[in-house]
Amino acid sequence: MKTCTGLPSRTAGSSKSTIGSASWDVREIPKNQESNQSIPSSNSNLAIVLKNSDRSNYSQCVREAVLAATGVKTGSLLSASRPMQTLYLRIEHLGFLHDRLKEFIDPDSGFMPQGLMGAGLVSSIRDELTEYYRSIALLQSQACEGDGGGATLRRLCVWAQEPLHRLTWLANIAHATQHKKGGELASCVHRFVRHGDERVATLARRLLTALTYPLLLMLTRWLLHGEIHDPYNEFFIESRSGVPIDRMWHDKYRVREWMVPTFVSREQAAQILATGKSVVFMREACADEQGPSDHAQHLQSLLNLHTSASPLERESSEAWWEAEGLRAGVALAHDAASCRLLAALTSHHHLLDHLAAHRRYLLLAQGDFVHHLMTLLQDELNKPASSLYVHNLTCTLEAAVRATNAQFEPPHVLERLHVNLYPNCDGREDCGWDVFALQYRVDGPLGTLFPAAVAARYRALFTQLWRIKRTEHALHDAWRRHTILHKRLWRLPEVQGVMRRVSCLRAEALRLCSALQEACSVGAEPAWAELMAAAAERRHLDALLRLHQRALDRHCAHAMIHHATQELQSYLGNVLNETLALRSFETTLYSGIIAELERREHIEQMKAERVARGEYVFTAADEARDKEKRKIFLQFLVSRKADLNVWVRTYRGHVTALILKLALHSEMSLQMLSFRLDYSDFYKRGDAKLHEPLTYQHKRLSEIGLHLTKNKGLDRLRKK
Amino acid sequence: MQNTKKKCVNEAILIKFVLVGFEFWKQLCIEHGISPEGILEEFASAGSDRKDVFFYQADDDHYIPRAVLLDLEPRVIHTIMNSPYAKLYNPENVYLSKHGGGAGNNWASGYAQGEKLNEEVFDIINREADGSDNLEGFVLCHSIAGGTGSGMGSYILEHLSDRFPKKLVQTYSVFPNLDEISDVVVQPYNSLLTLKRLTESADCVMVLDNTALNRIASDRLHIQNPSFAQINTLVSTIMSASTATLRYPSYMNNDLISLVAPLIPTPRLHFLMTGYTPLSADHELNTAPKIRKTTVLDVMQRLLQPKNMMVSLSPDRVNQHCYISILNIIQGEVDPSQVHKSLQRIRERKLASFIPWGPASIQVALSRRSPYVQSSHKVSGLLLANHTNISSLFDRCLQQFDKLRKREAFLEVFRKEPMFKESLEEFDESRSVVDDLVQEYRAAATPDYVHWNPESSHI
Repeated sequence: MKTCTGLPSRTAGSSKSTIGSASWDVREIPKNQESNQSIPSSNSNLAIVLKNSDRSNYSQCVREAVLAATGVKTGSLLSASRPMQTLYLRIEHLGFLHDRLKEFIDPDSGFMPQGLMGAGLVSSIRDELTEYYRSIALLQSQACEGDGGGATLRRLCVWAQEPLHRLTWLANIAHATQHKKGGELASCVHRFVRHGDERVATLARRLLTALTYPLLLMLTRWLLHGEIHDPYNEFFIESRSGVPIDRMWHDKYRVREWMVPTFVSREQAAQILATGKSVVFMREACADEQGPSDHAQHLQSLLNLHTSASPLERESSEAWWEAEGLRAGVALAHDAASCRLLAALTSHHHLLDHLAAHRRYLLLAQGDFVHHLMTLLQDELNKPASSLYVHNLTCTLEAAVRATNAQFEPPHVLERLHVNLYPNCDGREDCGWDVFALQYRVDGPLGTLFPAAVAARYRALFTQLWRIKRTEHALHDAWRRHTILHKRLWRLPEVQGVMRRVSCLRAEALRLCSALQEACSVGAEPAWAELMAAAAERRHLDALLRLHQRALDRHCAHAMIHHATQELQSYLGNVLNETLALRSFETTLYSGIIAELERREHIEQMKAERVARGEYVFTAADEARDKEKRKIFLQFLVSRKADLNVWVRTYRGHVTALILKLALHSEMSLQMLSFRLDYSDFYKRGDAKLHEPLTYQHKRLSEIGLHLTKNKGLDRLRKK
Repeated sequence: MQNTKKKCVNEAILIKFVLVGFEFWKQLCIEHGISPEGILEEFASAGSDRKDVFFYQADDDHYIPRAVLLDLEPRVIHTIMNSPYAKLYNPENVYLSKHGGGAGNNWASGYAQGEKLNEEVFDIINREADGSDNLEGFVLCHSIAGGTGSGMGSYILEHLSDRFPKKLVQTYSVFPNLDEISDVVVQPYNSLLTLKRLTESADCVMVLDNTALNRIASDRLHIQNPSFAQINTLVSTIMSASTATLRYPSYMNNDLISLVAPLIPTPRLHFLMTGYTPLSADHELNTAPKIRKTTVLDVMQRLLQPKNMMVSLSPDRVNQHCYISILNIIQGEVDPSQVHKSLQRIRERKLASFIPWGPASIQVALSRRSPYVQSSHKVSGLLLANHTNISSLFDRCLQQFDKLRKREAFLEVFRKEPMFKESLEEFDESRSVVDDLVQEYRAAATPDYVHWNPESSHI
């Protein structure tokens, strides 16, 4: 009984010893037996009981049992007594386990795991077996010497307790890891590390350390040099070939989810991916010479310990995969690497400038430039699209740059700003406004932030914002012309009515345009501010990409070209088209009024001349002609008024529809826009339909609806 | 208040007729980081502000205001020329009448002298206009009560639109203090005659009312007997804030038209009120502890309170007056989401009533603030509003005019001038123009303004 109690304590002690030194405590066993021999009673009692033949038979039996422990089968024990058979079977179980393990590490059996990490596992199991053999050998030599060295089956059984436990768990692990490789294998073994039995945990830990050594080498290489050497596809980061350089960051590398060992968390895997990617990106895209990178320092202390240190030292410290330093080291290295990358992007490649420039020029935030460019371009763009040439427009662009604050932009920004025409292919007769767009060409490493898909989004945004701006500009122009004309209108009191009406309607349209622009710019402002702040802080590139995408989303949503706001786009388009119709209506009206004005001024002049010449001032014929003309003019005004009435109905109809749709939209900020478009409840008074959606209760309901749709979207994503 | 100034801007030429101009340029120099000599301060070299709106650069990179200063008497211009800012101005643009007698607070005299000096004055203006690449308009600063600013200003106003028909003319007009008895006895005449020109020739008038300015100085800033300089600081604050969106370009309101066009629905309704909060007269004066919490909501609510308006309006019980349009220019650290909340709150509390004949709203322009000026407030706001009750101001002018006119008082000084030698028709004409304006503003408060007919209201 003493041995039984003694064994676990020794194994517990031995678990701390290294792999190299035997952990089977074989050397201790003989001592044990010697000490046991000093207990005379049990042995001598047995000897007395047993006959001589029995005795030799018995020692034969013990020897066979020792052999059975290594899987050698003999059938001689059938005649033995039942208790002995039980004892024998217990020992023989060792043999069975041994065979299983043997099979596992045999390359021909087909059970052997593949890959470097598999080889690591096999070799460490082989080590374990070697130790096991050594202890068996010692046992055998003891059992075979002389009279059997006092070895009994019962003693053997006691001795077998510990190896049995060990081999059982080795076999369990081996069974669990069949047909697995790489990170999956590591995860599988790692499961046993968390076993409640400390002996099992120790065993698994030893195996895991051995088998993850190739992983550590791969990881080191990836983190420090961004290289992947992975002949058996075991690493949890894969590299894909044939990815162009501008998609490198997005597509070239990715995490193999199933290969991520369980001791590496999802976030850590992402960090490791990003760190290595940063290194590669720095080397390949930024053509940065390989200097001493500071992210390596954070890793060096961690990795050196486990790669270069001798096995003995390694065993003495914590295994690398469970070391506290790993998590912190990887995080620090990630920070350092991405900080370095961002520093390179901001200093050598002017990331901040380009981000700001996109916003200023493509999203029209540089108002003075946009206004000036539009003023310079308006005559040109009124022509049909086919008569426009990019080089002419480029000259205009340069003129606009020179005259406004855009001139203070650094050259690397200005040289990327271009004019482009995007003709529609459907054969419509387009005017210049439809095809004109500013373009901002970005290449090199920044192509990662602004790939073609993003450029297309910017262009869509530009087109929409430019369209609203153009409408507003046309209204301003009309306002200016009216203001100038107004000073001459005291001669024509009859036009006052229609002019007042038209200018009130213009004010109405103008207010809508400014409200729309306010919504577009202000609504997306926080998202942009966040992005710029993050870029200035040199946050991780992945975070920047995410923020950039979000800012674009917000802006698109407010400009009503986001896929979630697509249906609003047609309503908005109707309103803008009607507004431009007002502008052309005004042009007709003004030219009619100016013609009449000039005719009357001419008559006045003629009268004055005739007075000077002493003729009749106004003959009957003149008067009749004048009367006729006045009649025609009045007719003109009446039909214009009728036109205007039709226009008002159409326009207000479209605006009401837009406000209604905005109010019903799930996006909160668009509901706000609808509130602002009808701030003084003017449209609401005109249309009963608007009453319901603007009530508080409806708003609350639609907020609930918003949550519901969000949840639905999430569900859909999950299903995918 | 007889100093005459003209200013010239890339986007707008400023013509100034009060000492305000001096304070305004001082303020602009500080905001843009330009030293009194016109040299850009070192700390201001990398700015995103547009200095060329109000300045141009000479050959030696000095910033020179696009300003024309006009006066008929030397006193105020001498004050400027003895100040540290003397070197700022282009000396060719400082025009002083040779005989230096002033206009004697007589509109007719100022107008006549304007006519006489016409060529010389317009030479200067033309030269400045030619020097601007994209001239958008003129800004004229004057007082309407005295002789020079009102008389000569009226003359220039009338002729600017002839000479530059496509340019916008905006004025900052200081209306006299109607509560006190002025030492300028013919002030009602001057005001009315100028008002006619403002109605007919200007495109946008920022009304600054001395009554309200004095009231604000004493009530809000606790200054007893405010000096001209203190009042002028108030005015220059308004002027600099109202031009902030031009000078700090962003998405919207970057040119003069886009600033005023949404505010002015029909050409005659172009008299805008202003309001500003929070006010502090001077940095050394404002030693009181900061008890004000400035949030967007707070600022926007305060801007709608009559006591913060730079125009004193008398309550009108007959007509339901309302806002035609409102633009708030908010400067400082603003969270855009607060704007919406404030608008909601203002509508819930019905703090502003709007015209019944069309949609109207409070437009909000968020503008940057000069990084070189330390402000003790997080948020400040300027209100530009077109309110129908501004007619009460003109109505008071009419009443005062009628009182004098009935007694035929002080008319002999006007009869001396050629314009009034033969008849006083000009007075009656001006009165009817201003009366029409009052009628139109009153009509704008009614639902059928769109179909309103001036003739019918006369009958």
